[in-house]
Parts: sequence; structure tokens; C-alpha cells
Amino acid sequence: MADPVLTLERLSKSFSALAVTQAVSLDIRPGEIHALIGPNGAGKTTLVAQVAGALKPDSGVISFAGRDVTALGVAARARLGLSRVFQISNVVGGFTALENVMVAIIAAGDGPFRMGRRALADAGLREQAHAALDAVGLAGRALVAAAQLAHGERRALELAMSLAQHPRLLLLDEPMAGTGKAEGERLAGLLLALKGRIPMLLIEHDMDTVFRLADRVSVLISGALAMTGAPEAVRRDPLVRAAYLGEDEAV
Amino acid sequence: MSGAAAGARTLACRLLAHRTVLLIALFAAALAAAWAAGSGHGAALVARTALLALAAASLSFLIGQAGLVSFGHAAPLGIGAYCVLILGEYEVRNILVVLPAAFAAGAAFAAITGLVALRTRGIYFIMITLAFAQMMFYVAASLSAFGGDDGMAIAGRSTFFGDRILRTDTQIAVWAVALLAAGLVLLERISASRFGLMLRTGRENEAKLEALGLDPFRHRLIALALASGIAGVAGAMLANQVDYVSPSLMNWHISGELIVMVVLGGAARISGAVIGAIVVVALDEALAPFTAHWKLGLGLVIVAAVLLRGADIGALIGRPAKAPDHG
Repeated sequence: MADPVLTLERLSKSFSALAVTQAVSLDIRPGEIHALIGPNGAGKTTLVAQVAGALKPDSGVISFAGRDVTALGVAARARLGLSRVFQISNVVGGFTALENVMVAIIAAGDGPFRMGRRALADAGLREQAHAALDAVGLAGRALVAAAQLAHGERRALELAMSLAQHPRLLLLDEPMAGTGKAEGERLAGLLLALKGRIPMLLIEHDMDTVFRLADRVSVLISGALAMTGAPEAVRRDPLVRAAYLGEDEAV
Repeated sequence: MSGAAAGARTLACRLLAHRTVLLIALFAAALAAAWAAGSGHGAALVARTALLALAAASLSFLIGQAGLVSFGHAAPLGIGAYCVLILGEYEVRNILVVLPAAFAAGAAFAAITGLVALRTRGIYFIMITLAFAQMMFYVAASLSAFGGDDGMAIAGRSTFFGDRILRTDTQIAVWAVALLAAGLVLLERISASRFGLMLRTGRENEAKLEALGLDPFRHRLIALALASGIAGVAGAMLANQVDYVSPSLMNWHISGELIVMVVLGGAARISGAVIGAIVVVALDEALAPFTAHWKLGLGLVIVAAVLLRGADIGALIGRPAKAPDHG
């Protein structure tokens, strides 16, 4: 089996007396969608922040793309290809959708220090950005200010910005949160289309989505990893049912 | 529909460039009028306004583009002025040496202090830039060889290889307006570039920019150095104009006045600072003869301007530090 894209080894983090991450070890294999589920307060977001580099773990090692990135910051990890899609849509509201994607392309390393020509009039850059928007179904919304986009569209825009970075791993923090039925359906379709090409760590509440998309599922309970396995095995596990799935009869 | 929107966009860009052209034309016309009337005071006023506008424009680049509200922009201004004084004492007066030296000194000051100041955000950045500027103020006041507290007259105005190109007020004004034009073109050009776009993105959403792979620190440091270098050039020309340099040029009042110019004219566009500078100098000229407390009136004008255009308050107050990542 090929080397994993991302490996967490005994990652731990405490906020004073509260151990929010307890010796979490997991890996993400090339091409797989690995879902991370857990009840509210299980420490999912804290774990994502540590993977992204926004939060330093107290102990443990994070390896990404074959190197130890534990000491690297957010921007350095992003340049290595670790792309995070935020829980709360994080785009520049005053910029148009097209401009947001252009920003993403430049920030990912396409001449961010160039001072000569007008950035927004650059035909090559615009073309690239249009293609990225097209790929997520936002072709017709290119010139709309990001703040005016519907919630689901903003999520799609964020995905387009992430893809513009040519990521080696997508870190998706509850992509379905707050989206309507149709919007969620569309987003799930987009992610499915990417499946196999770009590995993803998917943090998600919506169980339908998780079981539909994920190759493997890890369950986080009170900061510790309860189990990792195939979706069916996780769904059947009595411990998981009791701690988490039991809350939700729909499962 | 997208074609129409794009058309509107290019038209808006043209108008924006137009406003800058318009303002420079206004300066040129005022200068021509002063020259025709043989008014030395008029030319001096044009020169002073243009140089303050240049300094304010560089600050507008920091506030409006980078989101960095520096309350210490008088420091590079004064440093540029001291370059003229100090180099003059060593018989260096060639303008091709003096102006680049003023730029370099202003930029170097900002690059060094920026390494520390840029670790902070919002109100803390305002306070730390103020603190660094006050330090420079006291450093200048302690330079007893160069007049100490009182400052001193410069040995002579800058020359062009011995040619006295800054002899009259009109000559200085021509240089001042030309430098303002060059400064505005440069700052607007950079604002529209990829570099400028990254600065604005960093101002709007720092966390996202980092997640996209760019730490805005270096962009901000370069912007700070560039703006301070330009302020240094403005300061060097101001020193030439009044033939005198003193620490008072680095006083925090001056920093505050530059911020006022930026806010009055609006920080969204570089040229707004030029309008702000014109308004402040005009109010100074109009009201100063009547009362020493004319700045009370200026205060009211600022309150009115801020109330009428709330958007700039956000830029002034600054944004809180990065949002906590967990929650």
C-alpha cells in the first residue's frame, strides 16, 4: 500500500485541565475520503486546527506528504498542498467570486510579489479562475460579490479556491453545515467527483453524507479516537451506537 | 451581462485614474496661477500642500490597502528631513543623493521597527508605531550636533551637481508637484498589482490568506518600508522648503494630522489622501489668522466626515487579532 498522505501520531492537546485531544493517531491514504465524526464537543474542530497548523499540539507528530510538519505554520502547510475549507465560509465578501479565485491562485504561489501589471486585468489569470469556477458550477456567478452568493454557492466558491491551490489533501470542516437539501446534494456531488483524485479528511455531522462519501470513518469521542473502520463496521459498532449514533434515530 | 459589468468596471478604473490626473492638473494650475501672479507665498503653499499630500498618500497606501493604521508616519517624514540637514553638514547636497538617501533612511527605519510592530494588530499596532515615532522624536532632540531640541537651519538647499535647482519657491513647488504625481502613479500602480491585491486580501481576511498559503507578513513589511521611504522623500523636500529642520516634524501631532488627511479624503483610494491634504491645509490657511484654536473646527469637520462616511471608521479602529480557531 502506498504511503499515507497525512499521518497523525499520538497527537495530544489540552486547554488547562481539559484534554481536548488525547493521543489521536490516524492516517489518510492516497485517494481516500476519510471521515471524522463524533458528538458535539468531541474535539473535532480542535483536531482540524492542529492538522491545519493554526493550533500547536502539546505532543505528537503530524506528517504530511512525507515530511514532519508539526512545527510548520498554516501558510507553510498550505504551500505544501494542505488545503482547508473552513467551517464558516471564509471568502473575501467584498471581492467577486472571480476575484476570490484569482486571489487563491496568486496566494498559492503565482507571483504574489509582482508589482508591475494590473492583477485583475490579467487575461491568463482570469481564464484560470473562470475554469476553476466552471468546475464547481459557478460559471454564471463569476462577477457576483462573494457576500451576495447563497450559502451553498459560497461553499462551492471556497472549494474552487482550494482546488486552485492544487492541493494534495483537502481538509473539509463540516462542508454541509447550514446548506439546504438541494445545495448539500450539489456539494456532495462535487466532492464525489473529486473522490479518488484528491484525498480528503472530512469532518461532518450529516451521517448520510458521511456514509455516502467516506471510504473509512474515524470516531472521536471526548478527544480520543474510539475506532477507525469501514463505514458499515462503524455503523454497526455498539460502542459507537451508544456514544453517538444513538442520539440520532435517523441513522 | 457579464460583458456589461466588465465594461462598467473598466470605465470605473478609468475614472479613478482620471481623478488622480485631475488632482495633479489642479496642482499644476494653482502653481501656474501663483507664478503668474508672482506670489511666492502662493507657490510655497502649493509646494507644502503637495508634499503633505505625498506623505498622506503613502499613509493612505498603508491604511487603505494594507490595513495598517500607522500612528508614527511623522517619523520617516522627519528622518527624511534630517537626511537633508545631516548630509548638508557633510557638504552632500546633490538631490540625486539626498532624495534616495531620504527614501532609504525612511524605509530602513520602517523595516526595522516593522519587524516588531507587525507582530501586533489593530489598536496595538497604532500604539507601537506611535511609540517608535516618539523614540525617534527624542533621538532627534538629543542630537546636539544638529540643533538638539531646537533643530537648526540646513546648510543649503539640495542642488543638481552644484546647480541650484531649488532656489525659488516656484522651483520647489514644481519638484513637489512632480514628486506627488510620481508617488501617486507608483502607489496606485502597486495597489492594482498582484502585490496590492494580496495586501488587500490580508486586510480583509488574514486567516484565509494564510490558509491559501501566503503569510502576509513580508507583504506588509515591504508596504511599510515603501510608504515610509516615500514619506522620507516628502520630508526631505519639506526641509528644503523651510530651510530648517527640527524634531517637531516628528511630533505625534504630525502623525495625527496625516491620519486626519487620509480619513477626511477616504482611504479607499490613494487619491483621497490628496483631497484630505488640500482640505486640511486650506482650513489651516483660512482659519489660522483668526484663532490659534482652529483645530477645534477641524475636529468638527472630521466628526462630520466620519459620520457621513462610516466605512472608514472600521479601518481606523482596526480589526481584532485573528479570530480564535477553535469553537
